Amino acid sequence: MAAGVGVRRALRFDKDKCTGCRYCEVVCHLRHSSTCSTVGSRIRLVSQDREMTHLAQFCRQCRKPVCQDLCPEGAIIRLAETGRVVVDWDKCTACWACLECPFQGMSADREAGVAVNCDLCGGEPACVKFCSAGALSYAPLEKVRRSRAE
Amino acid sequence: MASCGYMENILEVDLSSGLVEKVTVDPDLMREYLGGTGFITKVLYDRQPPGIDPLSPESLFIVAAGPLVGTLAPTASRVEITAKSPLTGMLGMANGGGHWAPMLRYAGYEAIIVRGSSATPVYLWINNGTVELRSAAHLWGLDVWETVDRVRSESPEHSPDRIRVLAIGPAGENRVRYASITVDYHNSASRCGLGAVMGAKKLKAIAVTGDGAIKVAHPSRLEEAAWEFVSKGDPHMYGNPGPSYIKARSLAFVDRWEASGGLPAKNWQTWTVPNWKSRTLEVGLKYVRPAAEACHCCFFGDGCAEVKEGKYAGVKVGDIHSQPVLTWGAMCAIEDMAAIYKCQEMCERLGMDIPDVGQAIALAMELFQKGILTKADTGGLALEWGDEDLVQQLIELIAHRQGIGHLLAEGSERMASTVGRGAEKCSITVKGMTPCTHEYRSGINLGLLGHLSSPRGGDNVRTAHEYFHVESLPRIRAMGKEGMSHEEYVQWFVEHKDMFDEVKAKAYGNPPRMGPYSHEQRAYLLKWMEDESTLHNCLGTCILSLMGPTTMARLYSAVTGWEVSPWELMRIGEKVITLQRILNAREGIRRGDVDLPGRFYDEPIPEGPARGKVLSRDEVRAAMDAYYRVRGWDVETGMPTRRKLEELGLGDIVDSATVG
Repeated sequence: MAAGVGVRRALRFDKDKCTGCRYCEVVCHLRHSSTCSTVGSRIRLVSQDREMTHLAQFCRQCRKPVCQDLCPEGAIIRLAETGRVVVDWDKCTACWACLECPFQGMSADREAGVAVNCDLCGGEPACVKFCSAGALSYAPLEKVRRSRAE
Repeated sequence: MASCGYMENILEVDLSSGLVEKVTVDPDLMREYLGGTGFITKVLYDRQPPGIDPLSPESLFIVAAGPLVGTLAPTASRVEITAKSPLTGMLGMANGGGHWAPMLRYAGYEAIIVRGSSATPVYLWINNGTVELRSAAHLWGLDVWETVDRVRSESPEHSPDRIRVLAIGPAGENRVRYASITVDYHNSASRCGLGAVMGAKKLKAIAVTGDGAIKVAHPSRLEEAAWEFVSKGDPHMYGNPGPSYIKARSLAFVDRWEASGGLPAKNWQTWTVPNWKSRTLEVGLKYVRPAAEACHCCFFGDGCAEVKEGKYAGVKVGDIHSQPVLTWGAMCAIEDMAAIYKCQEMCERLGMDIPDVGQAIALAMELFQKGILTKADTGGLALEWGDEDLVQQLIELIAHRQGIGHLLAEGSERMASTVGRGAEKCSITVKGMTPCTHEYRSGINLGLLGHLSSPRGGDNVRTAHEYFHVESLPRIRAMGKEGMSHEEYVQWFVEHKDMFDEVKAKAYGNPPRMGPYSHEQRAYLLKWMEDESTLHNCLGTCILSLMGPTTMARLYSAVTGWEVSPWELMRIGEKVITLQRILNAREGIRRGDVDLPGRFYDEPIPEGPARGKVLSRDEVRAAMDAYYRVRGWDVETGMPTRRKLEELGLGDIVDSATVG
């Protein structure tokens, strides 16, 4: 098992450090679909590029996931052991109800016809690895929750 | 077409008829010329005859990405833009970063070839397979930022940051000969006046959105090669450049240049300006703000600056570097750093090249100082050094070609010949373009020679941009590496440098030394840097990454599945720059037509630590002789020899008009 799984960590984003280079989107795309793009990855950057500010959107692995309530098929579950939110693709009917997640944490993989979310790359998130600016980190869950609350 | 790496199509746009056509990419052409500037150079060679007017409908205007653009390859963000330059009459090439070129590829295109000109203002709209010319009547006259805002707001179904826009401002519309093309808000393809070519074609902007992806032959190899470079990089960059360099990029060198008497001040008349302490690195850094606007997959990113209070509150610039400070702060002698950033922002918004507009203004100021221009010529304006309000007024007048601005919009060389009365002696240009504002008179260096060898005029960005990493001893000493003596650092650097061993031996000697160099050593370094820069501009990576051919070959092979060696790639770089030389030769340009401004030889630096220094014509000539020998180009004419062309596989294009 990769380092980090089971210790309950989550992605953390610091907007003051983000340079908007979109390495996170491209490496996410490459890891999950073997192609390169900034469109359709599981982490998304929303830039106000005139103002030079950026926000990252990704699955927050919520304790009470809104997407779970939105899903009519019961396809979204939260794994008790790791705290991860996952989509059961056998049950997903691509109705896209989960895309209403208030954090825009769910994405539509239209080619595969299923909803997808951040899987933390099995415990070693590639987006964190390639974020030279240090805007993304993979931090203990409690710490992430604290910083989000702030 | 290769199933990986390259996108399917090229767009051919005829603005005269309004016809837009999709043409399938030719895999053989891409294999031979890679893309970007390689692709463009070959298209121009095949399709554009010499002697045309760059602002006429016949002039081709070409925009191309490269095969690494939009992928995970570090810094693969670049858009290469080319047309014959209305400033120099030579090949006009400019290169910009940002996120436009990746989006062009996600929409499915490698390049756009534009011909003809429109009767009314238009912009090109690309949304995946949908490509159309839309009216730009309502955008004509707007600055670049307003244009991008409006274009994005016209397609509200797309997130604004997913619509990427290349646009010109009023300067391009009014055919200012050094008008630039801005990429979204804070990047630009500045040099050579290509914004004026768009303006003459009545093409206000090219907007693109797409949701496709680039197929990659070997995803894990791509990630591995990208990660290795991002985490280790080039020894230039990781030889402990110090926190100020990381934060401020080339702005960090400004104080050192000032201390050595190396400021190109007051139109190159002198090398010191009073009260420099208001424009130091320390002052510049006060305006640096957190976050930034980095280009696609850039792992270092330039910092950005914002003025928070005072007269210029709200001014924002997307990158900080030495050029604006040297241009506005030294060349025009403006003291207030916030005013310097203001001038930089104005150029971004109006769409003008900073070195050319700054030096046109500095030339006018010198002519006013000498009484060659008077208030009768300037519409009553007193062109006094350091007057920040005046400089901003002139920037506006130039962009709109109003009043004295009409004269300055022609660029230093044309402006001086129009004025006459001895003004020609004060015009500082190389091949019709003003040089990058760095110090050159204190001795031969690669940066200086790069101005002479460049295929696009008086500028070393495509030739020896990174020269100060290997040429300036104080800089090399400052880089250093913890726990190493200077000698040990040089040994380490040369050993780790991504350069072929046989070139290292010729360039650095054995045991290696980093300066002082012989003419021949410099010639090998210059050729290497040029071939490597050309390769960056073919593949779509950034010269500032300092990436070498081994990494480039690994990335290219992983993306396309075509296995290439670093040697093959460098040979393509050499071939492309050789073909660019032929294109310029076809316009009638020979070595004898190219020289430095007389002031660099004839007027010793009058004051400061570098007082009395001046270049020697014989020494410059000898240094360039060595360059032509190493290149295999004719020493007299500067044209490639038949033998060299055949060696590079360009034998089929040998003709007597272009062979030395």
